[in-house]
Amino acid sequence: MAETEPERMSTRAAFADALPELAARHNVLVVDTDTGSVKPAPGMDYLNVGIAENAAVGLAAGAEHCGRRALVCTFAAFSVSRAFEFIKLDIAYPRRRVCVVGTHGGASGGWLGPTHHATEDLALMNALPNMRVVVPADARQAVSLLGQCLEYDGPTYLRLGRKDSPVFAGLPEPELGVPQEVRPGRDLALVATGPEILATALEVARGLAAAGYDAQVINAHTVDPEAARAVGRAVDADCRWLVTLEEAWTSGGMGAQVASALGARGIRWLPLGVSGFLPPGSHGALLEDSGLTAGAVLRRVLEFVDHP
Amino acid sequence: MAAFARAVREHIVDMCAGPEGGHLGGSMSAVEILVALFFRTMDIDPADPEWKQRDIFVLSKGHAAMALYATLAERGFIPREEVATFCRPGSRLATHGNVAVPGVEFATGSLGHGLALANGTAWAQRQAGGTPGGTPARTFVLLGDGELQEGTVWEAAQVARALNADNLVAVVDVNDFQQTGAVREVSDGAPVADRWAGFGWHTVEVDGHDLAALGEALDGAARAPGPAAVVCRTVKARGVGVLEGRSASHFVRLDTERKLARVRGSLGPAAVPAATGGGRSGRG
Repeated sequence: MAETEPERMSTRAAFADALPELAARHNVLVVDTDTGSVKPAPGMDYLNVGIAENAAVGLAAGAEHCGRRALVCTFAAFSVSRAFEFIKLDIAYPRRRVCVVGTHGGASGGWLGPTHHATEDLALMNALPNMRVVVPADARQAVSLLGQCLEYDGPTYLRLGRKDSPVFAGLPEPELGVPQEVRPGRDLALVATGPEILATALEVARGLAAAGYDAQVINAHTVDPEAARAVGRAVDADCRWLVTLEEAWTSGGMGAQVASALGARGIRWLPLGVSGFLPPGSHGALLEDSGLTAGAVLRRVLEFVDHP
Repeated sequence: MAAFARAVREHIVDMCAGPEGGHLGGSMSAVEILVALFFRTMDIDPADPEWKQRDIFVLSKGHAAMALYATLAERGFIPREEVATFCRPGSRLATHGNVAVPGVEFATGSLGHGLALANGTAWAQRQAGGTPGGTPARTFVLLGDGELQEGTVWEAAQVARALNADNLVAVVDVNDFQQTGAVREVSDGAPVADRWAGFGWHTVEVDGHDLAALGEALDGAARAPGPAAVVCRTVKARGVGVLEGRSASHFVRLDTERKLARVRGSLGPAAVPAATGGGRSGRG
């Protein structure tokens, strides 16, 4: 079973460290939008087009049309909702080999405030056919999944966190689109997306064990509808309850996809995520206010299984 | 080339007589621009639409797809007979540019995308470097003057200059009208050429219906350092006497024989070319 290590590292920092070598290896054009998240290096085709997300996505699409893989680096709050139509028409529709990277995912923008929080991105990207939607569980998975996105024969969205977050020991190498069972269990399934949330889920599972419930924990690092069907197959056949946890609005994020995939089983579902617009505040405080810390989640899950 | 332009206009009128009608005004205003590009300026091969060294055309004003389909038919990319299938069941020819059609590079129709896409194709062309000893292939993108109201056009224009995209030419079809009226009445922007020049683009103005002048302007723009804009003064629904210069021509459905005959009649005497314009053209 995975445990968190003492050291923390943001998935954004891991991405920045790994990108130059991976971009050169896969001959990828890197288009940046003045994010400061990319470290240009020799051998990497790098264009910083400035604060221009639509133009960046369009440029990447045009280059890919001529045979070049591309990656667009943006803040999640800007790539996904501002440039959504460019992503829809110029990336997803023609199935281009473009990876859109959104940093500052979820509430990790923290004190930058609601203009920089991205709690809609998973729902928007999940709405697009052809799009793989990827949220690495930690820094190591971020590097592995970045490499897989750059090899994938189609469009991908890679959501990264801004702040240092847990790194997990014993988490196996991820495979794009394939959920990971991090802890076996037969009573209920906790499906978690994102570093802080996976750590919370593991802690909640321990609390549930103390209360007599055997909780399965699944790391859903890919959250699009196709991946959610795989999550549905991975949920233990005996599980009576499904709890989904994500740092996103629940309207169309990971949980909604998984519940949709599992609907035919008639399993009871507790969606946990962010509700409403978040105020400025520290990342930790925003997770706490959203009821996404271990204590709050444990209380809500126990209430759910006792009084479904 | 005048005969091809005339043939393209005939096709456009016929497409407007189909079940859906079509964007007649903005297609007719772009006819000479497309004929000059596809029959003279661009290095393309109808027998190999995806030839890697080709010049790329991006129809940013995607609602003028009828003019592009008709030009592709006359140039030999698709059969002339296919034009009659426009918007009929099973057809590739849709109201807005459809990438299933050879020669249509991007799905356009949502305005304000073409120049951003063209930045990417032009960059990739510069990276590829062209034939040994030759210059890189070029990208030509056609925008409408109403389309310039989309802010993403100017975002991409700034990027093009920053990248010194000297193999990129924006051609602007200034027919003065958009769907609901005159462009300057809907949103009165600064003169079109001033805007491109203000963004640091090499800018020329030309009569967009003068094939010889267009050819020279396009060749000059393609040679200019940095990105270049060819601002074409055109007439909406040019060639259709009864609708010329009227916003009502924006979308037309010729759904009766009487309407079709009236519009056909206003095109003047026919001089349709006998053969399609196959074979390579352009830089060579």
